[in-house]
Amino acid sequence: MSKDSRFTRNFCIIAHIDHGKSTLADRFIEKARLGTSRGPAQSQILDNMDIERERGITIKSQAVTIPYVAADGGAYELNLVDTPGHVDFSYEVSRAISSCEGALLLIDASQGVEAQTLANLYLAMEHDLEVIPVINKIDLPSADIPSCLHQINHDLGLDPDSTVLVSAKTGEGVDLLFEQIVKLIPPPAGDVDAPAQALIFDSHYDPYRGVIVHFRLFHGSIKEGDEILFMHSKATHKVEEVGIFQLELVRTGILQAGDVGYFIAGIKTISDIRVGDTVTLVSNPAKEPLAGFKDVKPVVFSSIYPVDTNDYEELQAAIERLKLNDASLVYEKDSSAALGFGFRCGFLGLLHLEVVQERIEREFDLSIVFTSPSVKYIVHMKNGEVLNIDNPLEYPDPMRVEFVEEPYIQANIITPTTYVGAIITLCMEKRGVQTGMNYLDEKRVEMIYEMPLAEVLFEFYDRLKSISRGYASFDYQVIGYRKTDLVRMDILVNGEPVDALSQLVFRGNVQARGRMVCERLKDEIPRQQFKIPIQAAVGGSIVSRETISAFRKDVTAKCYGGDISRKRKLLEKQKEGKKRMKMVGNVEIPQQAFLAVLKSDDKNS
Amino acid sequence: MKIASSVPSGLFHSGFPVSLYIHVPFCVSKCDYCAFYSLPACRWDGGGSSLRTAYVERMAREIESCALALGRPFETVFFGGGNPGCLRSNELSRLLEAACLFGRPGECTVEMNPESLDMSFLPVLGRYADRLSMGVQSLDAQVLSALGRNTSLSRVVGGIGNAVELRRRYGVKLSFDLMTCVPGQDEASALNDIDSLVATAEPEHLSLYCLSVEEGTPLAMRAHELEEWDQTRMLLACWQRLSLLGYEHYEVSNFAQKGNRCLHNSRYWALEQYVGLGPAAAGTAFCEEGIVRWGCPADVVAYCAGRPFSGYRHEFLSKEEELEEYLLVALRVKEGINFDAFATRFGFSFGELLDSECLRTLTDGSYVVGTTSFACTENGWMVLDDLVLRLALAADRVRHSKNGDCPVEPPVAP
Ligand SMILES: Nc1nc2c(ncn2[C@@H]2O[C@H](COP(=O)(O)OP(=O)(O)O)[C@@H](O)[C@H]2O)c(=O)[nH]1
Ligand code: SF4
Ligand SMILES: [Mg+2]
Repeated sequence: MSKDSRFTRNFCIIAHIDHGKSTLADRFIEKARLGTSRGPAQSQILDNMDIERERGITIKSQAVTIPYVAADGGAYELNLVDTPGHVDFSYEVSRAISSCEGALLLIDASQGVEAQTLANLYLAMEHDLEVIPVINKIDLPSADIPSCLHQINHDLGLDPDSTVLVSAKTGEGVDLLFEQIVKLIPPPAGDVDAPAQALIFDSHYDPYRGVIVHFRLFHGSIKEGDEILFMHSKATHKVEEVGIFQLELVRTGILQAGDVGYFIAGIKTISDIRVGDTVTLVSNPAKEPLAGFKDVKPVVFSSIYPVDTNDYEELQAAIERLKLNDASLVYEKDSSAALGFGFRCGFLGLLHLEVVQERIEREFDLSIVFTSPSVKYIVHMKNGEVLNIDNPLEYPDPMRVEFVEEPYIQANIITPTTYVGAIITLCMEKRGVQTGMNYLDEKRVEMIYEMPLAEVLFEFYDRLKSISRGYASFDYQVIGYRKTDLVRMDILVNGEPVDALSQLVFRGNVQARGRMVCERLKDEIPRQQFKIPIQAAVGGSIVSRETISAFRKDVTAKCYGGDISRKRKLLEKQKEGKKRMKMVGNVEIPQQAFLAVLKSDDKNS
Repeated sequence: MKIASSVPSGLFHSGFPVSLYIHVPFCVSKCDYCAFYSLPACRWDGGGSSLRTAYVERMAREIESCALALGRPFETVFFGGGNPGCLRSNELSRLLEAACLFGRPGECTVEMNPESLDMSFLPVLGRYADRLSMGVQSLDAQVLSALGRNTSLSRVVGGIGNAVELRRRYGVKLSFDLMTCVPGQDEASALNDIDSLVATAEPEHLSLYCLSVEEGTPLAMRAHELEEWDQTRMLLACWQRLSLLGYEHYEVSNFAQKGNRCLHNSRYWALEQYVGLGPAAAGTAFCEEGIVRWGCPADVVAYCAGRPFSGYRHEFLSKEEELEEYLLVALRVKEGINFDAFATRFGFSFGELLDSECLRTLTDGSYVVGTTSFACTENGWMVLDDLVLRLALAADRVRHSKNGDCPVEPPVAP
C-alpha cells in the first residue's frame, strides 16, 4: 500500500511582507476545492491564530496538503507551507524551507524586489530549493511587470522566462502556476525502505489531544503503532495517530518518505520535543539525525511577570506550551522586587515579543507585564571577569566595570531614491555607519549600514516605515560586538524605583530616552487620589521628571432606587480593570504602560 | 387573605421593618438631562381611559396587597418619579390611602415638580404626607433652559410658594432639589440658588446634585460636563455655603436642618429592606441566604396591561455582591460604616479591609477611622467612587485569603 512519491510536491511560498503569500495560499486551497466544504471561505485561511487575522500578518508557518489533478492526468499531493514575512520571524521561514524541495518567490508587481525578498531567496538557495519566481498582483493598475522581470533577472539572478504572472486576488494565472509547480519542483527524493528519518519542524498543543508534532518525513515510513525515538532527547513514544493537514487534521494511519504531516504519541513531557530534532523508529533506527536547523539566537530579552502574582504557575504552564509551538522562544526563571516571580525570555525581535504577549493573554487568559527589552551586552570587569548581561537588574556597579561591548548589526535597506536623505539622517541618529550604497536601478537604492542592535529595537522600524511612506524595506543580521558607553537608567514612580522599568542605555541617549519614558508613563498611569512624580535617574541624578496630578472628584451625583445594581455592575467592571494593573509601591501601573515605554515616539516621526 | 397571598413571596420579609417606594413614571415633558424612566404626557395622557388610570388601578392593588401582607404601617413611604404631580389629586389620594392602610408610616414623602403643585393637591398631601420633595433644580432662568426643563421661572417660583403654603397649613416639611455644575452655570449662580431658596422657603432639607451628562440624553448632544476642577470648586463652595446656613451635610448630596434627615433614604443607604413598586422601581428584600433585589421592568404599557405583581423580576445577591452594594451606599452617609453593624451583617471585621495595600491607595484626608466606625470626610466624598473601589478590591483579597488559596512559593522553572 506504498504510495508513489513521484506524485508528491513539497513547496513553500516566500516573499516580502504583504506581497500576497497568504492570499495566494487561499487561492490554492480554493482551487483544490478544499475550502468549499466549509461554506464561504474565510480569507487567509491558513492564518488561523486570532492575532494573525486581526493584524493581517502571518506569524506561524502553516502546512496544508492539497490534492491536485494535473494536466498530465496525474493525481498529485501538493504540500504547501505558508510562511511569515516579517524580519522577526525569518526563523519560521527557514523551518518551512527545510521541509520543502521548492519555493515560490512572490514579488508584488507594484513594489518589486524588497529586502526580505532577497533575504528569503538566500535562505531558499542555501537549502538548494528550486525557486519559481512569481509576480503577484498583476491586476493592480500600478503593476509594473517589465520592471519586475528586470529585477528578477538583474537583482535576483533568476530566469525571467520561468516567471509566472498571477493575481492572487482574482485567481488569474493560478492554474498555470499549479502546472509549473508540478513540472519544475522535483518530487521528494527519499528512500521509503531506508530507516525512518523525520524532521520535526513544528508542534502545537491541543487541549483535547495533547501534543501534536508536525514533521517532514525524509526517509522510511511512520505508521500508527510504531515505537519512535527522538534522536536528540532520546525519548521514545508509541505513535497513536498519523495524518496530514487539510485545514483540519486528517488521519491517514501512515506517512512515508517525502510526506509532510503530523503524529500524536501521548507525549506528556513537553521537553521531549525539540523542533529540529529527528524522529526515527526504535526497531530500525537511522544511523544519524538529519541536519536540523541552526539553533536560533534570541536578540531581545525581557522578563514576563503575571499581573496577579498568584498566576505564576499558570504562566509557567503557558510558556511551556507556547514554546512547543514557538521554538524560537527561550526562557528561564526570574524575579523582581516590584513584580515578584516571572520568567526572563529571549525573543527574535520586538514584534515577536508582542506576539508572545498577545498569545499568552488570549490563548491562556492570563494578564502579564513585560519589562523593558534589552540586548545582550558583554561587560568586561576591571578584575578581568567577563559577564554577559541582558538584564538591567544584573548590571554591576559601574565603578567595577572596565568597558562594555554591545551587539552590532548590518542593516540592508532598500528604498526609492526620494527617501535616501531622510533615511541617512535616521540612521545617523541611530549611531549607524554607512558601509555601502548600491543603485539597483534609477529609482531604487540599497543602503548598507552597521549600527547597534539596541538602536534598531527602539522605534527604528516604525520610523523607517513612516519617513518612507512604507516604501523602504529593511533586513538585518547580527555581525558582532563593539565597544560602547553604557549606563543603567532607573525609573522612580512616586519616589520608589521600579526595577522592572530599569533600562540599559547608551549614555548619549539617556536624556531623550528618560524624557520619553517619563512622558509615556504619565500618559499610561491613571491618576490617583494623590500626586505621582515620575523620574528617570542615572546613578543618583535625575535626568527627567513628570508629574501625574491627583484627581479631585469622581463621585457620581445621584444614587437611588434601582440605580444601585447598575452601580455595582460598574464597580465590578472597574475592579476587573484594576486587577490588570500592577501595584508598585502605592501606585498602580497598567500593563500597557510597560509596553508603551518601548513604542516609537510619534512626535519624532 | 386572598389578596395578601398574591404578594410574591420574598417581596419582603415581614419580620424586618419594611419601607415602600412607589415609582410614578409620568412627567409633563422630558427634561434634556433626564436619564430616569418616565414618559412625557404626550405618551400617557390619551383621553378618558388613559394609561394613567390603568396605572393607578394596578398600583392601588399592589400597595394594598403589600400593606395587608405586612399588617402594620410601613416604616417609611416615598412617592418618587417621574413626577407624582402628574397624577390627579384623587388618584394620588387613593394610592396614599392604600399606603397608610394600617396607619401613618414613620415618614411619608411625595416628590413633585414645582409647576405641578397646584392648590388642589394641598389637602391630600396635608392629610397623608409629612414631607414634600420638590425638584426645583435652579432659580436661574438660564440654567433652567440649559437643563431643558420645560417650565418658566415664574411657575417654579409659584410652585415654591404653594409648597410654603402647604407647610403653613399642614406642617408638611419641605425638601428641594438643586442642580449644580450645569454647563454654563457659574459659582455665583449656584450660590444664589441656595441663598434665594433658603431666604424664601427655609426648607428643612435640601438635595444638591452635581449634574452628570448621561449618554443618550438630549443634553449629551449639545454639552459636556464641566471640567473636574470647576466641578470641585463649585461643589465645595456650595457645601460651605449650606453649612454656613445651618444645614448639616449628612450625605454626599443631602443637607438637613437638625432632626430633618430623610428617613426613607437613610434606610436605603443602610441597605435596609424596602419594597419598590411600579415600572423601573427596584426593592431590597431580606431572605434566609441574604438579600434579594426586586425590580419591575421599565415599561409602563406592560405594567398597565399586566395583573398585579406580574412582571417583577428578582435576583439573589451573593454575600460579596451585598457587601459591594453596602460599601456603595453606606459610605455616602456622614456616619459611614459602623464596625458592629458591619461585623453582624458580614461576619468579619471591617478592619480586615483596611490592609496595607488598600490604605496605601487612599489619601490621608479622605476618611476617618474611629473606634466604632469608618467614615468619609467631605474630601473623601469627592473621590468616593475610587474609595469604594479600593475597599471592594480589599474585600476580594480578604475573601481570597479566607478561601485558603493564599499565594504559595512558586516552583522552580526549568
Ligand atoms: N490587488 C491585489 N491585492 C492583493 C493580491 N494579493 C494579495 N493582495 C492584497 O495584499 C495584501 C497583503 O496580502 P497577504 O496575503 O496578507 O500578504 P502576506 O503578508 O505576504 O501574507 C492584502 O491586502 C491582500 O488583499 C493581488 O493579487 N491583487
Ligand atoms: S421631571 Fe424629573 S423625571 Fe421627569 S423628565 Fe424631568 S428630570 Fe426626568
Ligand atoms: Mg500572510
